Amino acid sequence: MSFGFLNPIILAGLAVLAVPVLIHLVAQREARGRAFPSLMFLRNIPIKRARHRTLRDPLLLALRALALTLLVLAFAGPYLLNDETPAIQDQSLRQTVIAVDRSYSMRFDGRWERALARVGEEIERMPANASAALVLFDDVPYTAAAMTGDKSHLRQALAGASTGHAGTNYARMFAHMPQLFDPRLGGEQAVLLISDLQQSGLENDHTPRLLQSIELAVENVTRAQPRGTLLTNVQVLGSDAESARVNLVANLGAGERDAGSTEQLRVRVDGHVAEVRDLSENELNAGSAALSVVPARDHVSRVELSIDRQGAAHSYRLTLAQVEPIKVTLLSSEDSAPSAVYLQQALALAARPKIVVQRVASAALSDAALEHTDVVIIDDVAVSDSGSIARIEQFVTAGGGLFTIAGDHPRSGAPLLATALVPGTLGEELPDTDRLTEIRPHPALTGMSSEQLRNAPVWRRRSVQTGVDDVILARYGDGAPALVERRFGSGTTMVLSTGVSSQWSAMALEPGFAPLTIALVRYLAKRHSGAGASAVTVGESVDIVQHAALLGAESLLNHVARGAGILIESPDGAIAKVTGPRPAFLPREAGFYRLHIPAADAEPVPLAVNVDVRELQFATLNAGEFSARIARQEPAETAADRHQLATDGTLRSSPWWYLLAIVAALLLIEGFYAARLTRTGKSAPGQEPQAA
Amino acid sequence: MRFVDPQVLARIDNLDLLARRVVDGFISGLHRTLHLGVSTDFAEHRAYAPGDDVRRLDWLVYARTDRLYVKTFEAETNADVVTVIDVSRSMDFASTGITKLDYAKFLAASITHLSARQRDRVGMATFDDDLRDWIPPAARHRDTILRTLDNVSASAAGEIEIPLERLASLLNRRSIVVVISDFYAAPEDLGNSLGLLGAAGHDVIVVQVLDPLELDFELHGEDVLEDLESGERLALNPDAIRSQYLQQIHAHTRALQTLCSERRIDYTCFNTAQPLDHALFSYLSQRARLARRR
Repeated sequence: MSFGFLNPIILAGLAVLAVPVLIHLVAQREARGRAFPSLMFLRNIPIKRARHRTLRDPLLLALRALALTLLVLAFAGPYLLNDETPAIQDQSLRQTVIAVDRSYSMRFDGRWERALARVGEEIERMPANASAALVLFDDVPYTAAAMTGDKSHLRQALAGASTGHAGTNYARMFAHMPQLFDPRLGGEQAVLLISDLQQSGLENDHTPRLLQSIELAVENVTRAQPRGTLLTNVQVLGSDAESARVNLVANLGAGERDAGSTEQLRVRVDGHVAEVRDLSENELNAGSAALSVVPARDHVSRVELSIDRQGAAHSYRLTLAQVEPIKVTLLSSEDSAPSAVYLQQALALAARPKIVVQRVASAALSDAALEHTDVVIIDDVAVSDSGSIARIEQFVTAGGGLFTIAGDHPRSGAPLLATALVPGTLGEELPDTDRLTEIRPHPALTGMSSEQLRNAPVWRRRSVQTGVDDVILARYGDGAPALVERRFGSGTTMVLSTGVSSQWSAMALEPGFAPLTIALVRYLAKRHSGAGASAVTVGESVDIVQHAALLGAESLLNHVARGAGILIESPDGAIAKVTGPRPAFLPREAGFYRLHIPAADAEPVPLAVNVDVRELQFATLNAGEFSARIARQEPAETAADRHQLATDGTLRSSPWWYLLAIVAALLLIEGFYAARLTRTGKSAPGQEPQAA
Repeated sequence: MRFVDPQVLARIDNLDLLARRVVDGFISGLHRTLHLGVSTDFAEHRAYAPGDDVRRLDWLVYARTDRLYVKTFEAETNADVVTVIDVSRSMDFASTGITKLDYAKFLAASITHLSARQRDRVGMATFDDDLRDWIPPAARHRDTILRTLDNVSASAAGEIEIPLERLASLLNRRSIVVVISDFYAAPEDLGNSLGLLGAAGHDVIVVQVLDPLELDFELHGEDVLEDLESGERLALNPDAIRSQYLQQIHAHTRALQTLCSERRIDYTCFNTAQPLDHALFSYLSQRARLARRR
């Protein structure tokens, strides 16, 4: 059992022991005196004055001094360490966590190979009584080998290590550290970080933190810093209405450039160089360059942009498609003619994709009318015949969209309600005028806010009783649902609980009406993700249906709808198959993937996958700069310390509690003793004497 | 004999009850061995003179001698008992248990009760630097004395000569005077004062009450003593001067004892740790001696 103090500096407080000693030495009874009946006889005695520096009441002094001593010791935080646990003070033991950066950027320039070599050296140099753990990290840390002294185990873990595809996150890696050290082993604790020290790995909301007591060594495996301009990403602005030209903006990173040097931007479309242009000074200074491309084929093209000097690893890829217009079948009647006009005019404003509206009388709804239709809008009209209802139901089940606008005819549309095709249950008209005040964040309403429609009064509206499957997208001021969504088969249906015509509301006259209508139709037609352009980063899950719908790859969509599998060809030529009603996959490398329909002659659908932009940034730190960015913590504040105290057999008992208890007992005894002295006429030092 | 601890008595607030307890216990312990103060015994014959009560003629003597003689007896008068208590500040001291003043009050109350019980006329006086309370002897003053004793407290410095002179002037009849004090005064002054009472024909009993600490001076370590009456302070080492102090106080008590003896005054010294029964026993023993002397 060994003994120590957590706060030894407090032991200086033992100087307060001088206080009781001084009291017992100096505080003589001249000031108070002991009462005595008469000094008649004492006056006649030649009294030899006693020395004033004699200690009075040594027992009381001892009690007080002991109490003070124990109090100081208690505050100094004494602790006992059980000998059954290894002594922390044994410096010959050493625990090292070897943290290896395996982010995407480690693939460049032989960084990964140098990192592996450095880890191998560390393992071989490890002393016999030392132990080590191996952690691989990119965005998240992964423990390849827990703390062990077995070198063969570490070598085996190292052999299985590979680079990842994600960005670097140092804060998360350091947060993982306390779990890796084994408090039962004791000894020194150290971290060896092997990384390319990308600055972007520190640029997040969290600061890396490490215990002050843990030694940190940093190895930078970056050999040479790339120079020049960096292409970070590309935005697709859309296409001209008349031409097939798609406008793009290439965003440029601010890298160091040699004076007078030029940067060339190269654009490839389906593997062919479409444009090579020198970036102007203005463009380089502004950090962006505008350009346009024309997809080479009718449907989907692979577009790749790169800065010549940086090579393929720093290129940006995307897929572009000439998107088919969205076809809307609007069921209306003569009574609802004004509202149909509002709807047609709003949808006509849509571009890329355009929205084509065909207006059909409810009674004339046929299979031919629904062919190639993406969305059906029922504009306050009765759909009563079972044939039409069955057609709409089949249409939505297959993935189509249905938008029902309530008005005077919800009752006549009762069969629709009975099939659960319309979300919620439409009821009676609500009496009060209200406004649409709340729009929830939802993909169907991207960019919309209640501000755009809140000035429009809603004079008449119907109550909607929603079920558990219904999602309320918008509400009136009194909380009643205004817009409700429901999934039905592979499709989506929505209901608006008021009419578009001026008899019901003034929404159609508001500037927000057209964007809202267009956004809803695009959502119902599954065309809401972009303007026919698709680009993802490695490690980001790809929804094949969404991707195919965005690019208008109908054959692929139909194939998926039948439940058949899709073959995915990765850039290195490997092929994998994904199945299910909503197939998805995780691309692990950058490049163009190809989505094939098995045993079909159809053209494969390309998917552009890019490297995480954080991993493409050139800026790195040296070891000193990096270490300075790590916040060091006091050990007592860490969870690891608490863990050590609480659970891992280190008997760090709390003797100070016992000391305080003893102090309390001593003070009690001192109180009794001093009171007794006072009762007997011997006033204790520091106390008033008792009168007779 | 059963002794009553003064500390136990100190818990009894009522002095009447306290006196009864002490005295009754004391008498039952003595088995009537001491009945004092009253005598109906034959004293002498004297020749008949005209005016004598013929009922007192001793007819047997007349038959033998043919002369008329009358019998005379001891007078059946009660004594006046006056307790005199020193209430100076020096009496308000206790190293342990009760103060000297309380002890003196208990003793005075017991004597008063005992005397009243045997039909003596009881009186009381208190003094410090002058005579403070004065209750002349009377058969019915017992309760008044006990009430007065209840209210007595120490408030002034002590002086013995003047108060006893005044007391002597107030006592008209020959009395038994019990003086209870710590007698912190020069022996000469004490001799004069007590001699004055004796010379006036009073039977004086001196009871000196001291605290155990005054008798053994068991103080240790360096100390500063403060005179309760004068406030004077004296820094000393009690261990070093204990023997000298003890010599002084013993010389004082011996001197007091000698001067009392010279003036046929009974002297007793008590410390407050002694049971009251002791003091009462001593008092009654001396009272018996006084009766024999008469």
